[in-house]
This record gives sequence, C-alpha cells and structure tokens, in this order.
Amino acid sequence: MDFSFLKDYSPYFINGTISTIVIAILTVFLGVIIGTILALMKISNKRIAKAIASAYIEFIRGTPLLVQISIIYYSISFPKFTILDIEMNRFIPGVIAMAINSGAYVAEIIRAGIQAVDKGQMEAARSIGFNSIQAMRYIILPQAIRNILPALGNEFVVVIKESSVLSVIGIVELMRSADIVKAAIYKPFAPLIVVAVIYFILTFTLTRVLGFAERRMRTSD
Amino acid sequence: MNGILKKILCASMAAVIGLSLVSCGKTSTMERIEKSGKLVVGTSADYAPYEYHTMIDGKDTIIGIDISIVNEIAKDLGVQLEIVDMSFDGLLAALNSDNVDIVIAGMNPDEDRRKAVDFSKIYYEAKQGVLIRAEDKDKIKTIEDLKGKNVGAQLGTTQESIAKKQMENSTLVSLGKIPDLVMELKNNKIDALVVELPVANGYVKNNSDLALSEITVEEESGGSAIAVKKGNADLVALIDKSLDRLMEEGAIEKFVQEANEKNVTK
Repeated sequence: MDFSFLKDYSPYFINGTISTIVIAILTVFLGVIIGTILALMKISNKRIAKAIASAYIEFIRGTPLLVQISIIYYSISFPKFTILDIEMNRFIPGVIAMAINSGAYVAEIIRAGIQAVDKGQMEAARSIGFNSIQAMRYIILPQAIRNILPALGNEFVVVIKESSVLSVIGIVELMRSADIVKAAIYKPFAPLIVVAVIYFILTFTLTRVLGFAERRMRTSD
Repeated sequence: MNGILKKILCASMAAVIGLSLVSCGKTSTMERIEKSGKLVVGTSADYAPYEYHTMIDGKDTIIGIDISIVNEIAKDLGVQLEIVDMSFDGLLAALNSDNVDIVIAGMNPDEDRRKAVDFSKIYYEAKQGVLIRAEDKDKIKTIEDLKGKNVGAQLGTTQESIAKKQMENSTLVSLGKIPDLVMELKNNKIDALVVELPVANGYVKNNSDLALSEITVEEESGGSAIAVKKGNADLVALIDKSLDRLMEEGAIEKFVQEANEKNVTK
C-alpha cells in the first residue's frame, strides 16, 4: 500500500490526534462529575433523586451514542469562535454529548465501587459518631476509589475509541481527518489504516500506564 | 445538597437558553458583506476537485474549482474571502441562519432547494461519468450491461436519481460519501458508480484499478449554482455578473483543468 500521502497530509492526522486526546480528557473529566452526582443520587434515600438518576442512566445507556450526539448538536446552537484552530461551535456540543453519555456509564462504575465496600464499614462509622455524609467522605469513598479507578481508566480507553463518532458532526478528530484525506487524495483505504494505527498507539499506551498505576496501588495495600 | 443541585441546574439552563438566543438582527446579506468587508462562504470541503483540503506551505488550505470561483467573486465585490467548512446537509441551514453569506459546494439547484433559498445562474454543468473496475472495462460498455448488477451513487444527489431512472434494471446502492462508494467498488461490493466526471477523472488518475466506462448517461437538469438567502436579488445579480465574466473568459474551464492537475499523486 502507498503511504506517500503522509508527507503532505500528516498535519491532519496530528491535529486529529490532538483533538481526540483533548476530547477524551474533557469527556472523562466532565463524565466523572456527572457520574459522581448521579451515583450519589442513586444510592441516596431520597426517592425522587433516585428515580431521576435511574431514568437518566437507563435512557442514556439504552440509546446509541450516535443518536445522542446528533440530537444534542442540532438542539444546542453555540456561538462561533476558535481556540487552537478548533472550532468551538462544533467542539463544545460534541464534548457535552460525549460527557452526558459517559456520565451514565461512570455513574454505574462509581455506584458499584461504593456498594462494593462492606456494609459494616458504614455501620461502624455511624456507631462511632460520624453522620452519613462524614462516613461517606472519610471511610467509604477512600476505599471505593480503589475499586473505581481501574474501571474509570477503561472508560477513558472506551471514550478515545468512541469519539470517532463525532466525525459525523464535523469535528476534526482522527476519523474526520481520515475523511478529509480520503477525499483529497482520491484513495479511500490507506488513511483508515493510518488512523487505526494511531488509535491503537493511544489506547495501548494508556492501558499500559493504567496497568502500572494499578500495580502500584496494589502494592500499597 | 438539593439547594446546590437546583442552583447548578438553573445556571446550566440559563446558559443554554442564553447561548441559543445568539442571533443577528435583520439586515440584508449585501449590507452585512459591505459592513464587515468580507464574504463568508460556506462549503463542504470533502468533494475533490470542487473543494478539498490540502497543505500549502505547511498550512491547511481549502482549494478547488468552487474556491477559485468565489475568490474571483470576492475580488469583484472588493472584499476579503472567508471560507467556512461544514457538512453538506448543514449548508442551507447555515445560510438561512446568517452564519454564512453564500454557499458554494457543487450544489445542484433542484426544486426542493429552490423553495428554501435563491440560486445564481448555473456556473458549471458537469457531465456524469460511470466509474468501474479496470478489469471490467470490456464487460461493461452500455447501460444494458449493468442489468442485475449493483450501481452506487451518492445519497440525495442528481447522480442518485440518474441511477434510479436510467438504470432501472440494476440495484441502487446509496451512501453518503464518495470515498466510501469508491471503496465498495474496489472491493466488488458494487459494480459501477455514477459520479460527476471531474470527480471520476480524479479517481481514475489516482487508482490504476479503476476506469471510466464508455457508458454515457443522459443529463438531468444538472449543473452547479451558488446559493444565497432568499430576498437578496442585489447580491445574486452581482454574483451572476462575475460568473458571466468568468464564463466569457473561459476561466471556469481553466479552474477545472487546474484542479485536475493538482491531484496528489507523487
């Protein structure tokens, strides 16, 4: 296969890689905030909060990301400005859609992590005079985080891969870079191989880093 | 807890409502162009050779036949040119919401589109070509040869209706993007592909396994025109004047040739 187009078109792939990484970081960051709020709502005793969180999680997990992105992109209109050559009027709705989606999955990761901590821990904390928020904050969450972090790392990998869907709304991430180059060089196949390799390098590096962090955490037991 | 949640919710609602209210006052497009000193052109730069991205001196640039044309129009109007790249199906919406002043994207001014926006005169009538695999060059020579075979065309285009009406014995495969259709052709998933001739030529030049079939298809009311928001007759007249000049000078044919020569095969 002929990859000579890389000489002229590599900047597209580089830009695409950068914006894919930025999208993934922002999505995971916002997703953790949304997910934490939802998880706390879901395990709380308030029935309304519980119902809202469950409905959100079920709905988001039960509909395709592609549909969610299209709905959010066409219903939010954003003013046009650019930062670092990235068009924010596309970028921001795209990231919001990804975060809304990721938040539902993160919520379940966090909820499972919290509920995996033994019930006795909460009872013990309450019996020595903590109220439930204090018990959560000082006793349960520090233990839960150890369960949560590895799964959160996987969510990061998933987000990197799924952000390729954002190409449908014209965000110049990796997949859209491939589309642009495919059209410009009249050769539709080779650019796909290039982005596949880049995606793989990104996710493989990340899994390695996560594995290392996990081992470190285990030794600190 | 509940108080904080409510505040967050209120704030984000306010932000969303505030942002969606961003819109301009009612001025004509011509006034806006004169005031800002630039012509904002909407296009979908994934349609070589009409408009596509390339690197010029290390800078991402959109070039192509259409871009050369609007360049001349901006020159005639005495303003600067700004190009906005977006997806093809969002172009007319952007025009009507005043995000762009004009739209040029190899667009056919069909009935439905004429209801939504005004068009300049047709500046280029592309002929249609039928792209096939080189190995089939002797096998597929007439429309009859396509009987029972799969024929591809881009979704929602003139080519699609040509394939539907003139090749009724074959199965139509419609996809959104030309490069994907070319891939289908290369991988034996379709046997022919109806595209505009300049696009077909680009692919034949860059892919030794593709060829242009001898099949000729009858022209629908094809051709490309520039779209302008309804009620801007003054701007349409100025654009038509520029187009007349370019056509008289034979400049558009020259742009087509230039774009075809710039294909990146090295």
